[in-house]
Amino acid sequence: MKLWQKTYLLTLILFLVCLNAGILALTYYTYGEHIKAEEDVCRAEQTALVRSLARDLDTLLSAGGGTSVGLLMDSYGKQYADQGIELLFYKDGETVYTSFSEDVPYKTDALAHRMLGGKRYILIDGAVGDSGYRLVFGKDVSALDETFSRLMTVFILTAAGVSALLALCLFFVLRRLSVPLERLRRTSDSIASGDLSVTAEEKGGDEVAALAKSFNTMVGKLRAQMQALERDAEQKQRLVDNMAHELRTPLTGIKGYAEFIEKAAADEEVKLEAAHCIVTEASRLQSISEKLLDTAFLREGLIAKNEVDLAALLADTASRFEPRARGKGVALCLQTVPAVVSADATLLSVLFDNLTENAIKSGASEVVLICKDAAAQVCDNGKGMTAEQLSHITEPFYRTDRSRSRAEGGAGLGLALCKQIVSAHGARMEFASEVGKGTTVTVEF
Amino acid sequence: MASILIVEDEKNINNLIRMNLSLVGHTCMQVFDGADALRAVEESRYDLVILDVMLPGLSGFEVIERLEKTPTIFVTAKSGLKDRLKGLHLGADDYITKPFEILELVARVDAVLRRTSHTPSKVEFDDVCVDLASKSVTKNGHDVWLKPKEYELLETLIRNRNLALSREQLIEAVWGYDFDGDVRTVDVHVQKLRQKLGLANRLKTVYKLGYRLEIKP
Repeated sequence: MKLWQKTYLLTLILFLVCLNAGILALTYYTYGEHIKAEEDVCRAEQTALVRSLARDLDTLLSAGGGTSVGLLMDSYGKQYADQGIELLFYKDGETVYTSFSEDVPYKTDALAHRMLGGKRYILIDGAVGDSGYRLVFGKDVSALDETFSRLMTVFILTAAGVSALLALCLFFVLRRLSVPLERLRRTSDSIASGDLSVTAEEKGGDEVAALAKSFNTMVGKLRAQMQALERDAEQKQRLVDNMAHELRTPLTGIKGYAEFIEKAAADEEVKLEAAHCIVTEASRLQSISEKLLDTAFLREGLIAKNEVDLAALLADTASRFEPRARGKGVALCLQTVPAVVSADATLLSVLFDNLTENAIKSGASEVVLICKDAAAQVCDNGKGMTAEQLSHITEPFYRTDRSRSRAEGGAGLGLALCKQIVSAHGARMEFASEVGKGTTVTVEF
Repeated sequence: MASILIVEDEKNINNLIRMNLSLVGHTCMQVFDGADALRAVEESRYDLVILDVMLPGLSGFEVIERLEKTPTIFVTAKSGLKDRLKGLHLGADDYITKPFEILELVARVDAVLRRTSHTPSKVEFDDVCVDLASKSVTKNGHDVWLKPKEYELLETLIRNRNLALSREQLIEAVWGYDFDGDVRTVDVHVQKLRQKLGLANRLKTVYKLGYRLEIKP
């Protein structure tokens, strides 16, 4: 059962019970009060009657008219019968006179209610003076009952009407209240089925609106997380794809040439050539695996820091690359002031070697190595990179121009390695590049 | 037998393909990027282009769109279904992923050539002439009658000439997967071929491998 239906039923039942119990209690109380009032009236009447009767009886008895007691009672009975009052006159258990149509039990000074002939009577039994006679006074109060039962009917009808009206109003009000909840449920359903683009309506200031609001916040977070996961997965997939490709190419060579040597009817010379190809492809695999190992090693964070002069390191790098630069027609310049940092010299020279190598390969005519204020810069005026390329260059196996880089022996791991060297030193590496104008890499310690 | 253009930027892989296709009798032309490939196709006619997908400059997918009618086989390290479908959708006749086996390369090249090339091919060595189109064999101008399996064995050896084929590979190619006889059946048929065509010096037993039909290009 739905919440609003439960609320509806419970409220309705509770209300009906309270209403009817209240009405019933009120009615009975009123009835009781009426009866009490009537009893008081009866008592007063009875007292008056008894007093008057006692006087008359006294007069009669002292006059010696003991036999005309019946006549006296008869006249009393007739007189009171018009007021709906019945009388029973008795002495020593013997009925002298009765206007009741039925037998009435004798009582002593008590007030009782009796049903006589289908009518309610209030009976009061009392002594009449000192004569030894007793009188049972009975008043027909069935009119009270009738009034009461009429009243009950009216009450019941009113209660039924009010209940029906309440049931109807409550139904619509509660259903209306549950509409936003139902909407929220539908929204959450569509999110559960994978549609993260929906949002819940945040109208009003009640709890449901607050719920919708936090719901939307949750969905937003979920969406952001999903996107982050997707990006992450995409990057991992690219890494795996690239890795597979990088490994596959040398593998194809090794396998193919080995198979060739095994199967082909070829000259010794051709077979030697094939063997040579196997060797070069195998060393390529080796270099990839070494660089991968280096990056894995760096990930462990095992570095030995010493005082290192950046200027001297850059000068070393420059001298190592001088012949290659000259061979490609690149002018390699050095602008350094001594700057001592705490770092692993071997790793830093790997870092600068990689950066310098990239700069020389960028098609530049001039490469400048700069060192000042605990920062090293490698600038080239080569072909530069787009922002899109820049965002990927430190991913393993990413290359801006795959074929060219591979032809020059690159594995696409250089900058990934640099990034790790830099982060292992707690340093910062920034790339600034413009297509056609060149690239500047800054490493700040 | 056929002239083939090899477009592959990895020099070693390019050479590998060239060596193997030359071995089985094809004439090969090598280029190393997409632009050169288009130029080569304009200059002369090729029966088949072997095309790498990742090329400097123009990619293989871009090259094939401008190749028009020349049959093409993609060779690539990209083995994803998406790339494969894209390649075939662009009109490639086949798709080989690296690393590939020599025999697979030769077989696929053969299959595409058989499907697309209309020039019947004849193979002649010594005094033997084999017409692959009419499936007839002559020696010294006289017809030689070969049993069907003997002929199929000969054709398989010719198509993979200068390459050693194992007995299992020969059985698979000639008798099919479901052959459940002895691998020595191959030996018997090879003996017959040697006798009928006088191939003792050409159809050689390769130690530990199988058989190789040697016809120097």
